[in-house]
Amino acid sequence: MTEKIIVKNLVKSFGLRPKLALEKLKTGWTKKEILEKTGQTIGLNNVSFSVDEGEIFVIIGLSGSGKSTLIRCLNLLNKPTSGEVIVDGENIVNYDKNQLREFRQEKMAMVFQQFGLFTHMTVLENVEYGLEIKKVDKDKRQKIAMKAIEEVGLKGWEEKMPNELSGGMQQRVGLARALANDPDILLMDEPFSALDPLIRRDMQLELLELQSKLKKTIVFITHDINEAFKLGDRVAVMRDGSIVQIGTPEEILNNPSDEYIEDFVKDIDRTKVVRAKDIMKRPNAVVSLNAGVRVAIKEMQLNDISSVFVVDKDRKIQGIVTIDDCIKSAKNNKSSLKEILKQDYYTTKEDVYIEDLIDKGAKTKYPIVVVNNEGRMLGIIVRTSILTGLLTTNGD
Amino acid sequence: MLILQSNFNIYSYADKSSLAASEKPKLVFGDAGWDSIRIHNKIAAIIIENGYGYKTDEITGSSPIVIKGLRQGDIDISMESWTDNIADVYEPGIEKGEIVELSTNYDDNAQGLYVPTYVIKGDSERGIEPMAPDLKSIKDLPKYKDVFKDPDNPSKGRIYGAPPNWFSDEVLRGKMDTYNLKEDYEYFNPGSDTSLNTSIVSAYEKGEPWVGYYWDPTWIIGKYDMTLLEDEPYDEAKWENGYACEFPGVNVTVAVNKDMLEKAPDVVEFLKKYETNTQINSELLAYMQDNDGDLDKTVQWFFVEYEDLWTQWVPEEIANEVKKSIDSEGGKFGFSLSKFPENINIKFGIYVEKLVSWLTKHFQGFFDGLAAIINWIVSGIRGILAAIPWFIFILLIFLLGWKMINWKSGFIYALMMFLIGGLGLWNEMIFTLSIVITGVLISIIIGIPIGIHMSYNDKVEAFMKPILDGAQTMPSFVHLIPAMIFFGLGTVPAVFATIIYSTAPCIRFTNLGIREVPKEMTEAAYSYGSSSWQVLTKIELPQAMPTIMAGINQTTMAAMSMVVISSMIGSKGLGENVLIAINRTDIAMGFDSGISIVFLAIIIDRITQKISDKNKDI
Repeated sequence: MTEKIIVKNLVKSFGLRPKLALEKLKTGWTKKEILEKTGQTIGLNNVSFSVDEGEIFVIIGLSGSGKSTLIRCLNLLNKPTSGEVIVDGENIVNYDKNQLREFRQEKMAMVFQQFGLFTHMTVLENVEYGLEIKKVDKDKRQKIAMKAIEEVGLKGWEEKMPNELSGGMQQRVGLARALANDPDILLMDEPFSALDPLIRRDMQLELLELQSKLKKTIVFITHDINEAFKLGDRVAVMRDGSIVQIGTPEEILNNPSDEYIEDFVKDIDRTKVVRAKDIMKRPNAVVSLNAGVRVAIKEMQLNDISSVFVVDKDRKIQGIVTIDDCIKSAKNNKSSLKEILKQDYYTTKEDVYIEDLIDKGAKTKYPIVVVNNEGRMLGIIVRTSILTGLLTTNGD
Repeated sequence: MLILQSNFNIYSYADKSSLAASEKPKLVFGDAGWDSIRIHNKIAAIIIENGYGYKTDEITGSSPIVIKGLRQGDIDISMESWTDNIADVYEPGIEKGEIVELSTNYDDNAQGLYVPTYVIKGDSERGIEPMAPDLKSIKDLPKYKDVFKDPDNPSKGRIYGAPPNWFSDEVLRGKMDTYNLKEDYEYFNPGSDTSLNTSIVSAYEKGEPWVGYYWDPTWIIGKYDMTLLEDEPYDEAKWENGYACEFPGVNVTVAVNKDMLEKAPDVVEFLKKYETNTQINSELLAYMQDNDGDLDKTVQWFFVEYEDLWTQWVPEEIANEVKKSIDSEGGKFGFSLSKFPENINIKFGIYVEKLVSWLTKHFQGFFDGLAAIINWIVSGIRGILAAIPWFIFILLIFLLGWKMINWKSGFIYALMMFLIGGLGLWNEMIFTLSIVITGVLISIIIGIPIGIHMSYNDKVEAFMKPILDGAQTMPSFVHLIPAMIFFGLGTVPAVFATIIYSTAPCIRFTNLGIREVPKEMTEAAYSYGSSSWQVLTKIELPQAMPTIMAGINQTTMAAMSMVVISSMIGSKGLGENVLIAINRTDIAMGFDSGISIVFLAIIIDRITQKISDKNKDI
């Protein structure tokens, strides 16, 4: 994967004498010293990271940690005091006014915590705004805007004013406005924080669904660790204007780099972080559909189990047979497995969180089968591992 | 020397008289606002307090109001009643026995049309060429009508008239007819004696031609070199026949309320002897002008210089009391801590005055241009408004009210308009409206960009805020002064003063409105690559519009109130009628013009308010 955004040694200092603060920072003063002696607030302290194309990069931190400052440095709503922001190989910090406007029009779109909708414009006009600024002609931009409105499920609401919409719907408008511009990069500044938990969950899922189609590069800010781990391909944890750890959710969960992050992840609901692929086992016993009943019985005897999954030659799951049915068939001299195949098992995809498997696990007497999109069997999850998955990952 | 100077104050009562004063009533002087009456008040007050042991006080008002107060007993003593000028208030008072005339203060004064002497002779020091070298008499005026050009009507000259309802106003209007001056001159109503003063000062400082009514003794005549235009010598027959001769000396009397005869018979005896003359008055006024208008010092000087005169007014023992108290007050109150030391002498006004006169000197061309533009706009708007037939105008008001609010409001507004017309104030209303509209338009054009600038820059805001506070809390009369200095008297300074006063709310609300736009909203606009201009026009201004409209509503109301006040500097319209009514204490006229202003204000307020509310719905 290519690196879409590279941020190098970014410093942002607020106050009247940013350069002074920068010098002092270089000579090793702490943020606190700089604030006391120069009156300068260090918003970002030497931040470096990169975002890969097509990933959701989540920045998480408590309020005041500098995450909002950081995301605003990516489209220069905040001008960095020093450092580089390289997008597609170009350092945008050096852009002049026109280059910057063009860059913002073409490459990035932003979604805001309080939605940032223009309350004096209709939903449609809001969604059209970016295109209007790009000087797309009216018919064309309305068509594009309508498509974006449909995409976020707001068809029929386009003539309403933003204040007539619920919070969730307003943020859909915000999202549609961003999508209408078709940017490479989406900057999302705590987009779901102002929504109530149920709506938030829906929006998260919808974002993931949209992302699976659109494959944008997304920088996503949140203070909610569950949201971060649910959405993030990679997560950066910020504290006091610095990034303290970057990694996949599992990496951070399992190896918190310091106490701060440990504290942070302590409250995490693991069922929302651990996925099927993290706890599945290689199925050590499967039977080919073409094999007979006796092979199945033997396989079960060998592995000391009472049922076995049946796959075809491409390892696509066909069903399950139990030891009881097999023995009955064998007594009747029937050897075909097809006749005794049962379908009352559950399958799941490897990216599903175990929170969504608990219910299935409780209902089934068989292990849950993890399959890929073609239906090929990747592994199985026995009920005990769902429960143990709540305590720790990489159990095997 | 300083201590000696600062000791003298009539409001500090000597201990010995305070006991007596508590038993005797307090006597109230009327202060009609000019310097010589103040001097006489103070001289009499010192004698009354220290010689007779009464306390004294002063009430300030225009001269007809002082006489009105004298008749009603709110005021006990008027030291300088220019009887002819206030005859319609004064004479009924005498007839009904409400006022008792005690003596003639002086009657050898002069009135008439004056010009600055440089108009005739030039002033080589200031580089002023003679403009009307052969101007001697009032009859020479037609020759020089181009010299005294009326800015509102350049085909004629302008004669600055007497304040409305002074008797001299009637005389001068008579002379306009008698001497056939009407063909060549506009008779200009200055609104009040204060603005008449300002028009002279303004013209004199700039070295411009000026001709108009004035009188002596006054500090103006003392300070400036003014020439009284000659007229036929006074002759009663000629006077009766269209005032075809010079003014007779006006009987300037000392008059008291009838109760004074019982309340303070000893003071009445003193006032019966009170007599001065024009020369003494001029000397006093000149002394005062030379001493920065220091009244105490002037009066002190009088007591020393004219001891022979004032000691004749009172019995010897009283004179001795007064003398003693004058001497002893010096020692006694020299170090009083309750009195702010007078030798600490701070003056801001001087610098403002210097700035204003520097501006007029160096930017006269600019101000003339500005005046021409403002004049053009006002006349244009007035032309349009006046061209609309009255019933169409009322219909338009109805439709506007109907469309903006509901048909009932429309009907009420139309009715109000009709009433204004019915009261005979239609033209005045059109005049007022055109000044308000011009003032508001210019205020918006100036105010919104400044407000925007202010909202973008905290330093500009910090700089502007005290200025705006000042412009709004400064008594609105004060705005009239620079307006008069820059633009003289008439419509243009009225619009100018209106603009200064009414732009402040527009600036304030624009600033507030834009600052209130949520930060995320502008960030969102910028993040999509908008330019600052696009953010301003597409987001900030529409968002701020309800607030800005509320500001415009306030601006309109401020303009409305200012337009009334600015009638004092000769602006025509409804305010002029109010002013005349005040001068005449004419209740009926005051009410008619007052209620018309209320109607007009209600209509303008409700409609602009509604526009503001409609914008709020977004």
